[in-house]
Amino acid sequence: MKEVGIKRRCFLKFSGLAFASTAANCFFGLRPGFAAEGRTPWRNKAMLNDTAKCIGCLSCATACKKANSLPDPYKYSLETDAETWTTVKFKKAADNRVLNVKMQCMHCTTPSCAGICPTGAARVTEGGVVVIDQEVCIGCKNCVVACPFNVPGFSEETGTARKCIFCKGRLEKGLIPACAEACPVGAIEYGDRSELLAKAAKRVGELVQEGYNNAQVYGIQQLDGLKVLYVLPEAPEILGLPHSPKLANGDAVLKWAMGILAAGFVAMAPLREIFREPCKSPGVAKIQRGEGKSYDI
Amino acid sequence: MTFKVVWEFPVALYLFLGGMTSAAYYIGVLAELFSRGKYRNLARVSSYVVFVPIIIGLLMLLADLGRPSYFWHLMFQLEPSGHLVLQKGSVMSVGVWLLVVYIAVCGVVYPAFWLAEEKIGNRLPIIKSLKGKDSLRKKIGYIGLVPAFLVSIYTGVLLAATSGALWSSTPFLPILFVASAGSAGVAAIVLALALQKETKIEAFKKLVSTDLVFIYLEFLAVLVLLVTLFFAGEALEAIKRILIGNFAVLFWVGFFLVGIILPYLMDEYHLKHQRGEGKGLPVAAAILGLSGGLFLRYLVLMAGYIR
Repeated sequence: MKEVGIKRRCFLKFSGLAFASTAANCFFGLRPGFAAEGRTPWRNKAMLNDTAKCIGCLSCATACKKANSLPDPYKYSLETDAETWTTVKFKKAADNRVLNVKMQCMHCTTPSCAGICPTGAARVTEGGVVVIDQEVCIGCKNCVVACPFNVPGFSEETGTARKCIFCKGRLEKGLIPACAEACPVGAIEYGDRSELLAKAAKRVGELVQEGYNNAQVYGIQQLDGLKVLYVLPEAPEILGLPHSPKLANGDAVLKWAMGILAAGFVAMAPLREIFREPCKSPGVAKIQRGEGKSYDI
Repeated sequence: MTFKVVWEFPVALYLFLGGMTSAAYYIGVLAELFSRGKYRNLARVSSYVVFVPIIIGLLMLLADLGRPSYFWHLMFQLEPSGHLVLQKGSVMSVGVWLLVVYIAVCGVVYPAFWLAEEKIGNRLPIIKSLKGKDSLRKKIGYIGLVPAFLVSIYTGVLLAATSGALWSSTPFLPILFVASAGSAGVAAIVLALALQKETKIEAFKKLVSTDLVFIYLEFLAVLVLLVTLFFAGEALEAIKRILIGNFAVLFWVGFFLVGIILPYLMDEYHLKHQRGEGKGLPVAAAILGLSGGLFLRYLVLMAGYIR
């Protein structure tokens, strides 16, 4: 009986400890999901670029370069690349107006870069920010050709692919992305996704009233949702954005299947026809009897 | 206007060598299988053309990397703790492991069996123990068909799983690459055979017929690709530059004339008028075919960046 008593006490002690530590872990521990929610408050945040408000001053581009220690902060680049993580494209509308379209990583919900990256360097981090891990990246450049928005660039200097990281370092310190902070006209907003979506819808309504019949919000359906939303006064194609961007490796299975079909057909039909020997062929009989050098043919 | 040009000649060469060696392998093995052993010499010769060219291809890939000394991240990483790497959605990741198996089986193990039968094989340590193991050799050969076919296909899928309109807006690029690999593979076997001192002419005849099959498929594939791309509407500028722009010479002369028309004419002449005798024409067609194949890969690669 004494043994059972001790056993029971031990059991209660240890299960109490276990319960307490589990509870502590739930609140203070490293498990993603519950605890991480508190540490990635940008999970439900988004960015809204209002193309109609943008004046093309490129303050965003300069601020981005400075915040991320990128070279040549005052040099304009037509495209985003390894050393220019955001820029503004100047597009002509039908009435010869110039529209200013800010370009940066869209932080897609289903990103093509992460989809095709062979090392896992390009990946979606908690909170939805898509990064290219500079320690893991080997510079294969598959992401550069896979991105439907042509965002990442290859850096000769680092030997890796680089792109906008949604100012993740700043977010972790409780700051907002540098471009959003720098914009002098409020064309770049950072906030709750649902609030920004409502704002965007209202803005589109205003633009339609002003005569921009094709005004729309961009980034809701595309690639299961982009973390960077746009208010566009015109159709995306006019502004240099893909109308329905596709996940690069989305139909890879179909493409494999096409190749397998071609190879299978060729192997089974023509090759077989060409090399087929009837049973009674003297050449075959000779080989089967073990006579003749292997170089006979 | 082009997208960023990041994959250039080294990658084109790798794609070409991957296709050429893998097709040479499976043509050789299938030739022996379908002919019930009559053409086993083709299986031997074609297995020898795998290793060196594919290693050259791999070196091209390595040289193309931004951080070549970290190439092992494709297969093994240390953070957060040591683990093997396979990114299932990534064609390149699947391709890396595919290449490992392919080189091991089709480039090393299978040819080793044939090497064992050669005079030099008797003197090599592990290889000489493989002598005479014909049925095992054949089994390994059939197993090797799987990675060989997949490597032939994978070079096309690698480009197709991107956002380059020319490569990815239709699913048909892998078909073109299988066909192009096939004719390059035949050409490689023809050249390897021609280097032998004693060769029966019958093999050349069969290979020339095989070359014609792949040429037809290549021609068809290019046609289908151009038409479907045109109707898909996304690679119009690229098609324009290929047909009448800055890539026109590479396309019409490099690919079409050198890689399709001339080998086709030579092959037909060889079969019909030479009654399948003589080595000269098949060899000439092979050299042209290899060149044309390389031109095609380079052309498709470079034109993919146009928008």
